[in-house]
Amino acid sequence: MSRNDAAPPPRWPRPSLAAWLVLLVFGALFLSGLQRADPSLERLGIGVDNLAEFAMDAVPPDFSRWRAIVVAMFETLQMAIVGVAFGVALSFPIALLCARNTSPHAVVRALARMVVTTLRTVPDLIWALVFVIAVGLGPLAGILAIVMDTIGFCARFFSERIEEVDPSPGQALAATGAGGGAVILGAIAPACLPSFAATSLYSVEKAVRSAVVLGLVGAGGIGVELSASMNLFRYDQALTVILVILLVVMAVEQVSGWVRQRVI
Amino acid sequence: MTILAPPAVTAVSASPAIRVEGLEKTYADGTRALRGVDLTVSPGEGVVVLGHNGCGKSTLMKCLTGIERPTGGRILVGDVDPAVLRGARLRALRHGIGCVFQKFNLVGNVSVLQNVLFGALGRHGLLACVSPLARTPLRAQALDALARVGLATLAGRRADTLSGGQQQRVAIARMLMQEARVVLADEPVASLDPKAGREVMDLLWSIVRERGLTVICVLHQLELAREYADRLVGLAAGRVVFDSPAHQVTATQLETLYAGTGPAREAGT
Repeated sequence: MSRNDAAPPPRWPRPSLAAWLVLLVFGALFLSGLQRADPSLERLGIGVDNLAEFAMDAVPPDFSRWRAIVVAMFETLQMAIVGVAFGVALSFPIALLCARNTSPHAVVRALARMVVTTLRTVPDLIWALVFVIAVGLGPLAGILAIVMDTIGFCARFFSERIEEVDPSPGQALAATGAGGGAVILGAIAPACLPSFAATSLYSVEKAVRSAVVLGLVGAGGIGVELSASMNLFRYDQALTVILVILLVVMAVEQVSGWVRQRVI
Repeated sequence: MTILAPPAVTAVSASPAIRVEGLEKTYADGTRALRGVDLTVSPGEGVVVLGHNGCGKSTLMKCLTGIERPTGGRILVGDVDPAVLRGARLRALRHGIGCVFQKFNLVGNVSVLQNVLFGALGRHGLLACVSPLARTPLRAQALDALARVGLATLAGRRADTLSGGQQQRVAIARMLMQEARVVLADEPVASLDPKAGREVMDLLWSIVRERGLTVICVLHQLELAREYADRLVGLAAGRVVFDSPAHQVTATQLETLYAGTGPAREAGT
């Protein structure tokens, strides 16, 4: 056995200057954020009292308006499904433009990525406000907001998956004389399908949650009911709305988990 | 002559199926992969190209299909130079060249039948080749191709659930579906165990012979190369160092070809 004269690598690698800088900025932001929030024991104590008061007003929940709440929840689900369906359908071609291996040109790719980044950066609540101005109050504004949010989310993950695809089957199809479209739909799309399905199902879960919030700004759905109950201090009705939301979100997560397992 | 002309069943005619003259390929990073390669392959002839890793074999294959553009010299596949073709004309040329790859290159999560139907993409386009939409004669042709490689019963299985040998058979069925006149096989048995490798070579060569196809095959297995090839071509550092009928290639020539790169693999080892 030959003698090993080489020095062993350090047990803890020395962080780089950039790593120190990132750590420093993070620490500064954390401390300044904590200071700004001013989480005093007194304030937290008052918060607990207020919560207890809310709970006493809310329990037992008032189910008298259950029909209206169920209809609004159904509208929320519809908004989420329609929004995600359009969002996913539009995400695929946009993702092809964003992905390095399928984009027709670097400039097209840069532009497409910029669009997706913009869509992702703007929160869904802002989109809802914009679309309430554009198309008025109601579910259409909510659906459009979910479409935008879904594109921002799905197009990014779709394009990353497309870039990771093994190029060999596509090369084999191209070698048979297949055109670019046939290679994408014949080799790349099937390879991406399980990942696309998982991302789309997660989008549905995400959209149901965000559709609830979108109602708060008048974009239709159960958020309108929740907002109205809270504004009228009918916390017992608000609790009914919250319970229905909880039930539906959990059901959607269960169903999507089951479908995901089947597809992947 | 065009590469889609009727077969000349096993007869080696005077007009070459492939002609490579002074082929040069230098990559953007300055690597000279091919340095004046000359090669002529007659219709129906089976040529095996030998050489150690990095000697230019794969680059030669890529130039033949137009995937890589040569930086010098000329290629004629039939009477067409792939290097000057673009778009639809290049796709038409590729449709006449069947490729068999080392890693099979199947679309893993679709059915075996669908993979075979993909062989007809160049002729019929995607919609006509999607299994549920494909017309009955096309599906029948794909099933015939699968029957020819002994996998008709596995048509409905997902391709990635098959063994390596079976996947390579599916790739050969896809090549059959292409109705190609020229076959380029790039290390078709490199990912297989010796038994499966021999079975695949038996199948590939029997199909090539019965249909009078022209084949260029890259191999590292010297025993298989000697057994199947009409001609052996040795490539070293981008140059042809020998090009002779298989029975005339000497052990010394082969040893020199692989000198300094470790022993070449004999089939079954």
